[in-house]
Amino acid sequence: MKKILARLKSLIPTKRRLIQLYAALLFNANIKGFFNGKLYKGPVKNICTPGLNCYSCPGASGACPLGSLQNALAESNKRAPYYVFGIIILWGILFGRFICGWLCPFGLIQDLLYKIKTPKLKKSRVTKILSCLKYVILVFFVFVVPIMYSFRNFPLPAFCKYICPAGTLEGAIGLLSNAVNESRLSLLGPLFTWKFALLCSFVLGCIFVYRLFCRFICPLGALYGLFNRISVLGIKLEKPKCIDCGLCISTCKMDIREVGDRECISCGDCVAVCPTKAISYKGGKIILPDNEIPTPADGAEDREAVLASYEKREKNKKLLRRIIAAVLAVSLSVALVYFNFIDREKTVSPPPSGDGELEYGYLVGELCYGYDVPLLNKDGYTGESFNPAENHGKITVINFWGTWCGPCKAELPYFDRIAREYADTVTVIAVSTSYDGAQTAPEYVGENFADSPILWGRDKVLEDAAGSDYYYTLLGGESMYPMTVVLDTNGVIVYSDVKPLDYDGLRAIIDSVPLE
Amino acid sequence: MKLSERAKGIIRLLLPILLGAMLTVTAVLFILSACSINSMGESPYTYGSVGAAFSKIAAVVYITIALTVVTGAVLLFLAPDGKKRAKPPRDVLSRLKRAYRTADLSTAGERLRKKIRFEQTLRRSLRLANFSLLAIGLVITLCCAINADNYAEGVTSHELTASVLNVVIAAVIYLTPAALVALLRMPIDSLSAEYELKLVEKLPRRRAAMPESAERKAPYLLAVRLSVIAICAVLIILGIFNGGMNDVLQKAIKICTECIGLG
Repeated sequence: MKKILARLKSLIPTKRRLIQLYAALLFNANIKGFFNGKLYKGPVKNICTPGLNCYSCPGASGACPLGSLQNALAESNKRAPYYVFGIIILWGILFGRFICGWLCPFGLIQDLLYKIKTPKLKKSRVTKILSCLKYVILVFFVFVVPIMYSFRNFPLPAFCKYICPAGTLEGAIGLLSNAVNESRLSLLGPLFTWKFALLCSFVLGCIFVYRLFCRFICPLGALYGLFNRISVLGIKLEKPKCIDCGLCISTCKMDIREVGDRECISCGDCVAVCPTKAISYKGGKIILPDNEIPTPADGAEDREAVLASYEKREKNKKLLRRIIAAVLAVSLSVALVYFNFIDREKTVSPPPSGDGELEYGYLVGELCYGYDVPLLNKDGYTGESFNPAENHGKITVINFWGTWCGPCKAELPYFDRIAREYADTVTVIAVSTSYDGAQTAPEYVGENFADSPILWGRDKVLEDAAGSDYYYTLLGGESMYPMTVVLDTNGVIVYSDVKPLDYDGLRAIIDSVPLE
Repeated sequence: MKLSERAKGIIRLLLPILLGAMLTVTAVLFILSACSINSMGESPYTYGSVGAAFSKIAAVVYITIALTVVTGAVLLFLAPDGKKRAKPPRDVLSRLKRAYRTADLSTAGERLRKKIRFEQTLRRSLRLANFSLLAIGLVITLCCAINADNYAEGVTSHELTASVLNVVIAAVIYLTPAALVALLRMPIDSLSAEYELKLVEKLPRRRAAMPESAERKAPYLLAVRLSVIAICAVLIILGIFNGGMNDVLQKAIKICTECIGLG
């Protein structure tokens, strides 16, 4: 019985595991998002979380630092990315790769996968060389490609789009698996299949290789690793005490050359094995127990004083630890209450219902809600407006887009072509978001569609909800772009979906709408 | 039922291998199912198609999950008593580092010093050659990427993805010989380090000296940290005023679906 209890004791989570769980819960405090299939759109998303946590996760309470960095670099031709650089460097100088070991939700997932009992691939010189791959990914996919494409006004966050498994796991599987978003599955295609295959490979790899993604792929870890030596928190080695026995390096499962170097995630495995207690946590003097209990010689004059001082110090540290734990617990409780009970989805006030058989709404088969969309051209607002719901006698195509969205801009030429070819029977209105990217909508329209028959409109910001747009939300939009809504000649919605369309797809939709 | 140590050893060996194989098979089946859904044409993903594709492999998935739980439980109680003691690394470079710590180099003759210097230079040159090869390849790949960039009005997302993927494939094709060179370098490195270790071990031992720079770093470190934190504060404030913070919010709540791989 004692043996069984001893074995079961090994299942009790360590302090590090508890902190990882705490961080994962704090960064995904919007738990109601998993049930209602909607993202949190409030002001807390101004702040980048330290670890990798895709902002398309329905539970995400903050923005992803890597995604924000790529998006900021993708618009670096318009606006210098001071804010994102400031936040990332701040996390780096405070924590370094301590974030990877203690605060990153994706790191927690990898740690849990590694616990599955299979044969493991130990580190070697090959893995040491492979650990350089993440720097190549950082330079190429996070910096070079977004900056390169920013000069073409085409936002392309290459790492998020082609590699990041967090987006696939949290966005695709987390968001789209909810029954509420069933119709959004239609936007998945070859790109998602590639990323799903990559996700499966990473998951499998993480079972056999310790933190495969952190060690070889993660560019955020690569960035934070550059601050490891100078960060406030982390692991430090007291060289005078070090005897170069190498136990720390052989115990460590990361590809470190030295304790506390850029590969070190401060997991603390080396602290326990060091025979001379040369390894300790940085910044731990005020809250962590001393590495060594002082042992003054018997008969020494100040022996009692030294021991009493040590006991008092340890007592104070214990009290401080309890206070910090209480503060953290209260913070998490406040966050959970705020995100799940206090923060309310902003609703729009729809116009009154129709007089006939059909109700106004935003679903297929319903009469489309109307709104006088202010129109603009290359010079700005024209002073005119257009209400898509009152465009009776013609098919109306409403496309919601933004200059910050590459795929949105890539499909606009098809809408232009449709508008020209079906000029007699179809009206196309492209409603840009209230938020502009590197290029404003008038600038973009003037540059690319100066003589287009498309009507260019601008949505307005939803009151008290800085992130959401009015007409987009009224027509059932849920944070995902581009969205296209097609109305028949009576203003009834015949198509509404979130995905980029090509010319053939758009034409098939138009041709299927009967003309009266 | 009490098992013999031999039986326990066999179970500890075979069960993880079986689980590893099942997990690999399951992952491959998941990928193949996703590929089969993708090959169904336009907008292939629906609840129906996903359900149909993954229901075919449901039995394998359930067996794998059950095997994972059983393996975890069995190995929890069959694990050997006591923790494994960490052993010092036995690789030659670590032994060389430890040998240098206690070797008295001042007693080495000119001939011995020349031999040691030669071995160090050989390893350093090979390392430099390998990294140069990688760096040149990276530059060539980037030039190909810029050259292959065929973004123009009207190009589809698929064409854009294809052009970026072509460059990635070119990078992988280039990296393969670079990786092979790195693999070939390893035995040469080991032989050279072994020889150097034999030379260093011939020298008399001395008491290891305290590294001089340990104390000097501390005052500069605080100044560096404070400076960087101050710079961060300035950057964040500038970013708030120039609209950077609003950009972060807008991108976090207005999701460009293809930009996160949903396409």
